[in-house]
Amino acid sequence: MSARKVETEIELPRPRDTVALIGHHDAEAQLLEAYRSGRIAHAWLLSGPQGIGKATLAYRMARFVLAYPDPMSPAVQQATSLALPENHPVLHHVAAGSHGGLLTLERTVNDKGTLRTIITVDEARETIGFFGSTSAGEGWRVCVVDTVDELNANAANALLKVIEEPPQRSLFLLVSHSPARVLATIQSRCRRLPLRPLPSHEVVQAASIAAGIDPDDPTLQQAAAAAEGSVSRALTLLGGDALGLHQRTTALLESLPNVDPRALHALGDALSGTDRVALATFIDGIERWIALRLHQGDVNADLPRLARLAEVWEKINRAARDTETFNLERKPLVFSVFGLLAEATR
Amino acid sequence: MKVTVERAQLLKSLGHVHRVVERRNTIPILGNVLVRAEQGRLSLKATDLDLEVTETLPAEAAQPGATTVPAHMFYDIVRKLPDGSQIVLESDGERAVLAIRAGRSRFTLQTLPESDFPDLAAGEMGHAFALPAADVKRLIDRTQFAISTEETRYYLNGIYLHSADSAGTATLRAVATDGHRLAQVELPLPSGAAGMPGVIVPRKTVGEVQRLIEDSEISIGIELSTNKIRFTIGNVVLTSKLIDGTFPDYGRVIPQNNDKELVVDKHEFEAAVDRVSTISSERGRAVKLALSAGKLVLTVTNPDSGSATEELEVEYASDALDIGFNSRYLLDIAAQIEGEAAVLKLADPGSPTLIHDRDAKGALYVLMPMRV
Repeated sequence: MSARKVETEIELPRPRDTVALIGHHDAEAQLLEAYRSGRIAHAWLLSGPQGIGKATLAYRMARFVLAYPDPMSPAVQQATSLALPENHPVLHHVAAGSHGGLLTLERTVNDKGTLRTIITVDEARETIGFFGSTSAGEGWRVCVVDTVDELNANAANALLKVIEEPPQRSLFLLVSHSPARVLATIQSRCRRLPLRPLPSHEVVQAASIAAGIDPDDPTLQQAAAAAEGSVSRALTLLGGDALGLHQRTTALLESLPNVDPRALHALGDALSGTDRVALATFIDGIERWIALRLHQGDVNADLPRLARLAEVWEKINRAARDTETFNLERKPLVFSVFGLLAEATR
Repeated sequence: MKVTVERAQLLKSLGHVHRVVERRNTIPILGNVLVRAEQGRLSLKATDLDLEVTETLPAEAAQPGATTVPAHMFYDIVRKLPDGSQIVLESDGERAVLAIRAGRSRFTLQTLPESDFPDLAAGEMGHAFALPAADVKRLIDRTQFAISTEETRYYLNGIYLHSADSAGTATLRAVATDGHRLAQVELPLPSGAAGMPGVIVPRKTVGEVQRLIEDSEISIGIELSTNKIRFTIGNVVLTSKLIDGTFPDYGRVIPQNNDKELVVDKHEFEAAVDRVSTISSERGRAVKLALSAGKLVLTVTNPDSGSATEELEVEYASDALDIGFNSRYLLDIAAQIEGEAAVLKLADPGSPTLIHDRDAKGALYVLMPMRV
């Protein structure tokens, strides 16, 4: 529901490097089945919450298609998953970004060295040249867009141009956290592949591989339980004292509307400083909590209360953005957030 | 890997391959050049994922192996080393560095693994033939100016190389057009090229091949498939992707029945067009050609600055005719004429004009008129 990217100090594993796919067996089987039939849809929209492995699946599919260009070959017909044998050259080339048959559209770093908030139209236009020339490999040209939500209006339209009239043997794998916001004209040209949040034990499995932690570690278990099926969220919670912060925030939210002011002071102190992860974790916890209330609430019975909650959500969002942008003191933010929530839930 | 190589040779080869590498690269491995030592030789490879250049040079390889180093930095190092020195390149499997030693200078460069380096050259090439370098150069030089730079019609951003039938003889034909002008050059079809697919060679590749031909005496090997083209120029091998599109049926825009023939002296005509076009504005570069028996009057009128007129004596015997052309395009085409005189075949002020060389065969140009 929120487009905010959770900034993190932990190095999240890059999907293009990630070979193992945890969960999503149905989705993987659908892709494999479609490819095997020899009549695969040229564009796929992989949707679902952030951090569950959408891009990992997209790269896995891209690697498979680039490694086995002929869908009728025995290697494809007998495959049980989209995995490639270890040390296959395509694994190296895709991880290094040097496979001539794969184009990736993702946010890039600008001249000042910061990550852009969008994918620009010039980057999206690279698809014209890419699909306008022959493939470097054995025929397939694959474009992974991670994510399509980050394309601005012009960039989305530039991408649409190519999706509308794709050349032979081209494959678009679009990743989206909020598929309903994707340009309708792009949506209508894609086959949808919704992915579900992972069950807790699979989050543990994926996070333990990514972070190199023992799966029986209790901190990992707790982080996975709080992560709502998202591996990247679990990994973020594992960094620093993010997990503790998350648990304190949740405990305070549960005690609404009668919050202990001393606990609020303590939380405010814990958030002080310029640690972006801490602030993001706090806001993320609040947003999740509100989102859950909004989803569970009975629209007919509780309409005014829900409307109030939605309004509060927007106010909190704005306040959090200001605090982050202007680097304001965070304790007042904690108090105003809980003040607003207490009023809304009373 | 350990290899010893002559500085001058390494510098020359690196000079060829490093040009392909773009200065600003978001993908680290594409900023690198692949250095591979084999029995008695060293090969260097660079790519931008659209084309790939490999050059082989003689070297003493004490220990074979391969690694990749930043291309521009490696080139700069070799360039600054003293002339005539022997360069030793050495890397071990343990640390990801390449040591460069020459005389008293020592450098180490960080490397990236060879396995990450892309390989464009894989795949079967169905057709192979050889052409003298001078012929390849002519095919490119005479058509390159007409390649379109418009990205929406990407299939025009290259030279269309195909086999064709020209009055009963099989020819290898190169065509380029941007919709305003068209250039076509042909040669007798070399053996081995029969049945080759028509391919569109991208502009960047064309420019790179042109620069790699330093000696026009040698023979150039060309291999192609529907996906790729490969040029072997001496010890340099260039492999490139092609443009994936259908080149328009250009034959329909080449006029067949233009009956008014004008013969101009190439140098006089070029100089005169250049002189009168001085007055033309940036936007409208139109030059008017007023033709009457034996006489051509070139006029440029620019409402902002003034006008220019020049008279030329020409061979022309048909009815009087006024026609306008873009002076830039006229100069481009005049520059392609190899002989002393150009022949312009005209129909009327609204139809394309056919231009060819009076003395040399095999090349023709089509130019769309401008309204004046």
